[in-house]
Amino acid sequence: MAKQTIIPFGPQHPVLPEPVHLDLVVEDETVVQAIPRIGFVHRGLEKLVEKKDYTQFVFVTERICGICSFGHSLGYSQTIEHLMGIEVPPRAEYLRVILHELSRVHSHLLWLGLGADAFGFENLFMQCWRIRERVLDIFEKTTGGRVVLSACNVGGTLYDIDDETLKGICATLDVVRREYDAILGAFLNDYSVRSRLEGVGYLSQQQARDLSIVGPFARASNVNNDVRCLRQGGYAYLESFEPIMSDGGDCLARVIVRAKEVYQSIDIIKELAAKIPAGPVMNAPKGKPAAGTQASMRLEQPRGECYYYAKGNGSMFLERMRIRTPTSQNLGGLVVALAGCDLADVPNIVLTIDPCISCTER
Amino acid sequence: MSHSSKSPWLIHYDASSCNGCDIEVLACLTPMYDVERFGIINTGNPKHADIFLVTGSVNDQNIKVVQQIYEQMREPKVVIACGVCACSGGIFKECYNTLGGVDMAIPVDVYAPGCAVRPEAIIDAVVKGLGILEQKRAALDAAKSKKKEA
Amino acid sequence: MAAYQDTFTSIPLSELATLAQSKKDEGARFINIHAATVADGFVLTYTFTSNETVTDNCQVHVTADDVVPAISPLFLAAFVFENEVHDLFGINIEGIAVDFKGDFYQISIETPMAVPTKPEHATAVNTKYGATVPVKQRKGEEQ
Repeated sequence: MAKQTIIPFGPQHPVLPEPVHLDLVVEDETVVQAIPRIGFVHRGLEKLVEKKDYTQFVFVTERICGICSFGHSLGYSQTIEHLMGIEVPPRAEYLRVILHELSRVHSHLLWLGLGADAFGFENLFMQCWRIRERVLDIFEKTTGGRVVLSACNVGGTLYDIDDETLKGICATLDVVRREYDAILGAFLNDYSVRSRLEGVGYLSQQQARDLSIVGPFARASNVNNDVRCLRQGGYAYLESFEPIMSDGGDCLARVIVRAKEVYQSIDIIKELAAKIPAGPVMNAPKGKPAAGTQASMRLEQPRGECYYYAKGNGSMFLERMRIRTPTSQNLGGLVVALAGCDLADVPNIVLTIDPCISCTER
Repeated sequence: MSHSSKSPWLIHYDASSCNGCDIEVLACLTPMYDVERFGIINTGNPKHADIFLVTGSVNDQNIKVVQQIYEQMREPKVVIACGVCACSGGIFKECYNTLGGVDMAIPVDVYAPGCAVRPEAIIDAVVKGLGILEQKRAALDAAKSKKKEA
Repeated sequence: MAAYQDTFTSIPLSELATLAQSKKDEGARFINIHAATVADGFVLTYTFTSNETVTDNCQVHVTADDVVPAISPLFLAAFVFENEVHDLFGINIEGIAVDFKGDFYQISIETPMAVPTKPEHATAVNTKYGATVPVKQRKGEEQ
């Protein structure tokens, strides 16, 4: 009978950008069970609503996670607008979606690079991040920040992007697309990449439903819960929207879904930039959230569906703010996907759910 | 310039950072800023590293991890606190699970503020850290030669 | 903007288990559990969606002494939130699928979200190298 040993993985590990600890119970080289331990990044920021009023708290939500930063400020702003019944000007809706889809492009390129590093292809990691720098240049030219943008607030956006700059952004995205085409073949067609990813970390459609997983992790197992299909906010102005699905269920399918979403996001940005209306970009909120009111909101971030909840109590400070991020939802799926894999595939599978531990723990 | 400040190897650990500073640290390695042309490698082994880049503030759970990594590094070593959360706790200073900056756990040599810290600032901080590394190496050599004489 | 649809309904604690079972039977997707402190206890909000369009928030009022049945045996993804609610608020949830027994977030402050003002550290944290976190007295009522 094989002997069982427990190998601790993390929190400091070269392949992990974030601290997460897994106790891997292994028999020979096969992982039998994985027990996660999180809590290294827990700051307790949901309690900061007591100290920062509802117009300042958006800057705290931006800093929940540096990768999904704009997404959180957008989700928070939409929640408060739903709570207080604030109308957002149309130009701001367009700009928010443009910045959010740019955020998705940068996040997926980041993840593709880290994924390549995890399966040992360091040159591809460097190429993905080099292409990603063009997107960060766009952020810097329009909002001043590379990572934390501080561009979205309750009532609209803080910065306007004029039409000339939007044309420049579309031209840069054409360059990004050309460079991305050149390296995408390595992800999709290279024999050694496929052999590392095919059949690894498989989750069936029924398992994906039972585990309530979200995002590209679920779409790769043919389960669609993409919130963009609800066509809220700026997404209502798109001609059509079809989420990218795959029924592979393994690591390769997840790579393919995210790789294709980059193209989809570039198309969305160009479509909206072509027909953006003129007008103001901020409808500043007046007053305070009324006592006893509550509101919830869902948003499709690069990693999946994010749920927000806000409760007012009649003062400038919110009573309660809750952010449920996609990775906390996907932790159950990670534990199931790790069971039965090889020890050398553990970094691959952990990265394949696109973990954002700082989002999970807030 | 002594040999210890040429091609320093660095180890990076995310204490309780939001990841913004971590991706900027990784961006330093990538072709745009490219510190690898100076011989700087991001290693995962604390015993191979000269420079410890820490991001994020410190809490009860990760204070031991930060101290363990620091103790495993061999002398001379330099600690660089990247980002305002590592310097002082940043916007999360008043949170219940934040003890403060990294200097609550280990002695810090260089503070590089910013939210998120820019790659240029990280490179500047590393260069400053190299100066301090040189001084530490000189002090170690002086102590060794004094011992020999005694 | 296309109207976002969400509903808020209140149910008594005794109906929570049947609600979870009926959501499972109709194939609804589990979204979230969270708690909020109110004057005489806590309000737990369980969020599901049956058709991916409307977000259904079901709210249960509990006190610190109530025993809440876990829904993670039916919805495994809920174990993260049930452990979190137990650790941060002190709500007693029984039967969590993967139970960390209070050790999910290893923080030195008991139930930080249940205390109305910012709780200070109850004991001094030992740090080497000179810096120590001072012990401060708790302000306001005890938890």
